[in-house]
Amino acid sequence: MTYGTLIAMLGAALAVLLAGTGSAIGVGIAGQAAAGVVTEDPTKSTKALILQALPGTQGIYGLLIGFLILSKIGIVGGNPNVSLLAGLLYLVAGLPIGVVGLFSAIYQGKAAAAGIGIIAKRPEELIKGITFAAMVETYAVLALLASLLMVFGIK
Amino acid sequence: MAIVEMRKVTLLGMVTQKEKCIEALMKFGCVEQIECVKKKSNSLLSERAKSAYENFGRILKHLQTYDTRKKTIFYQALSMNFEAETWKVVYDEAVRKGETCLELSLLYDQLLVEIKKCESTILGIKCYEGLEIPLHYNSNHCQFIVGNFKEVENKLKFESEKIKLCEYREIPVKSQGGYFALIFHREVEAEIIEMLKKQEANVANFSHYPFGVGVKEIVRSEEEHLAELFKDKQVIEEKFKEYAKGIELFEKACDYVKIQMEQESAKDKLYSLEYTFILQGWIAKMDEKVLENLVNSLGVSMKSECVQEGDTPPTLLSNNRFSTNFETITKQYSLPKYKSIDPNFFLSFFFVVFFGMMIGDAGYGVIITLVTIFLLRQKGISGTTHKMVKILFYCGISTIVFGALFGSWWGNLLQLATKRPEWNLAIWFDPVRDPMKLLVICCVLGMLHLLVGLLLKGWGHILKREYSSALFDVGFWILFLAGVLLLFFPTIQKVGMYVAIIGALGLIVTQGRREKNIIKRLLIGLLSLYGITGYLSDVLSYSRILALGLATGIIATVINTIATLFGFSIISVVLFIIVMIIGHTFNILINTLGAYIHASRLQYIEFFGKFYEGDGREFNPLREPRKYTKR
Repeated sequence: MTYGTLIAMLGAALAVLLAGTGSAIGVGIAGQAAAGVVTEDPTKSTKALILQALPGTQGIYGLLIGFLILSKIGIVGGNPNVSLLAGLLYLVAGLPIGVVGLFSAIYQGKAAAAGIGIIAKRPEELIKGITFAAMVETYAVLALLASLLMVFGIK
Repeated sequence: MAIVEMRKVTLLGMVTQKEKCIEALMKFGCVEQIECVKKKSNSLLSERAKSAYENFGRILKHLQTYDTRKKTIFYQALSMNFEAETWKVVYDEAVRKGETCLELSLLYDQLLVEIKKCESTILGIKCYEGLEIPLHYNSNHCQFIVGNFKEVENKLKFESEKIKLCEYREIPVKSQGGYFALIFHREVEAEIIEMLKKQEANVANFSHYPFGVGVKEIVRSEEEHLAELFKDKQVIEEKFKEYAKGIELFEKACDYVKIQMEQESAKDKLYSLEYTFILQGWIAKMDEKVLENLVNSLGVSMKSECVQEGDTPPTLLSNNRFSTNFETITKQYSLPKYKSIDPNFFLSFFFVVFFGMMIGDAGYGVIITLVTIFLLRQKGISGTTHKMVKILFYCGISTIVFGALFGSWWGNLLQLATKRPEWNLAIWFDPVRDPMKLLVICCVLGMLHLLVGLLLKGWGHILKREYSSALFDVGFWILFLAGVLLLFFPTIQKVGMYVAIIGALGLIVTQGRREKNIIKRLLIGLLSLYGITGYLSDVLSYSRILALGLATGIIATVINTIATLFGFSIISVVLFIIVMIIGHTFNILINTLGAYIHASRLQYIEFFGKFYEGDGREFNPLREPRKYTKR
């Protein structure tokens, strides 16, 4: 094990923990709104659940980048031996999805909660609520793309 | 691939034919009635139908719990093609049989309320079980009360000791909170009540129980009462079970009254004179001839005219067998305006391609396809659900195609199974090894999508005979964008430059054409070139296809890796199966949802943004509103 490995693992950890925290908060916010709607009308639980699941993707993206870094540096199934420079590169590669995932998941959670407000009054407009929340996710997807390209690019 | 042309029809007939005409139109189901008169008649017939509908609805709500017919995934409507006379027989029988059933359901609802009340009473009294004297113990001179207080900061004991002629006792309880009993002389009643109020204690009222009966006895008698109620409930449930065998009768009758209600409301919407009536409506041009024959056979005359200015005709879409399913996706956004462009033909192909690439795993495609085939083979699948499942079916096939091209089968499952980690299954190329190539492909697809959108915008201008707008707002933009695109290819760079310059000059000259001042006009034209940043961000938005496609395959690989971490023993095989099933099910669900949302978004924001005119009104013809039966 080298210091490079440590720093690369820090990158993986940041990707997973920041994006995961964001998703947890976002899903929590949407869940509170969903519970409120379901107390009034239990038949809307499936629709509310779809909206609640939306801010959860950032956590998955974070885990994805984290796992990619771990498998590339050989923590999962291999012998880790990473130079200091490579370690720093992995740390940087983990940052986009970590930071953008954190904030976009929280704000997507708020948008999803408002979308759940839509289905409380007009359940037929579910797709519009989903679209509003999915607009926020665009930036998480772009950050995921940046992180992916960075990780793939490190030789 | 079009929005159906509408005609406005006016029917004129004798009042005696009114009901027959409406009935025939409802069976025909292709005419949308225009509301000629806004009134709400409360005729005896419509009132009776309404109350009958409510009653049948109540009966069905209770009977459906005990419906013993075989359950299918989708609701299967009964086949029913009776004439009005037969319907009437069914209805009369249902009313006769339903009378007692309705009484039972009312009784049942009452019982449920009573049971709830009884249960809460028992819960309330049980708190006083620790009291060894009866609850109700009042005499001429002394009064006995019980109640509860908040456990924290209880000063009741201290305060009551200050008052004369009063005894305080706390009742031992198992649950939270504190309960007390007070016995006092009526002289100090006002003082006691004041004190209780100050201490925020609640007094429970049990004066309706007989004098001198102990708490335990009361609880026992209440529990006996509850048991009796439950017995009554069970008796009624047994009767419901008996009635549920004939549930079809009530379902048929329910549809019958619903159709009657609809007929009554249709009658309210037409002009009714002393001897004649006038009905106006919208009909698709292709159905016009059939309608004419139909009403003529009833002795009703028909006149039809084209859409006038100021009319608001409804939108009816007509597409080929493949694209028609995708109308649901357009509808979820907003229907196109009448006489605008129906995007479904182009949308359907792009949607399927984007969806396939966003999942991009052939193994998952196989699963999606198999599940949708299973659902499509179920009886009774219809309407929007049918269309949605069909969309998923096509998307599943597209996923198999793109997954095979990119060489991903359940992540790296095949490589793991054969222990050849470097085995490249891709027919075309593996995006994990060469993501930049796929990124370029996604952006090119995106440009194609946007180009189609721009062309449709131009087509819309041409349809409205705005030829100058078609050239200036669409033609020059396409030239400009195509020229900029060509700049990226070194061999034809020069051509690209000239094309872009022609386009840009055209935009500068024409974009400000609504301004009179020549300098202002050129400035607006110059500023319009800034719109290229919008196109840039639109194209980059398609990079999400790459990101989502890579994510699915890599998460599948992660699941496979975790599942094989446990080594080789009996427990590890069990763990392997559990991780594989839960992991891959989760991954398919979350990614199908994601691919659906993002493929839709690319249509709604990037594609529709270029040309679409929404806010169309859906064609809603007069038809028989059947829920339980079909023709």
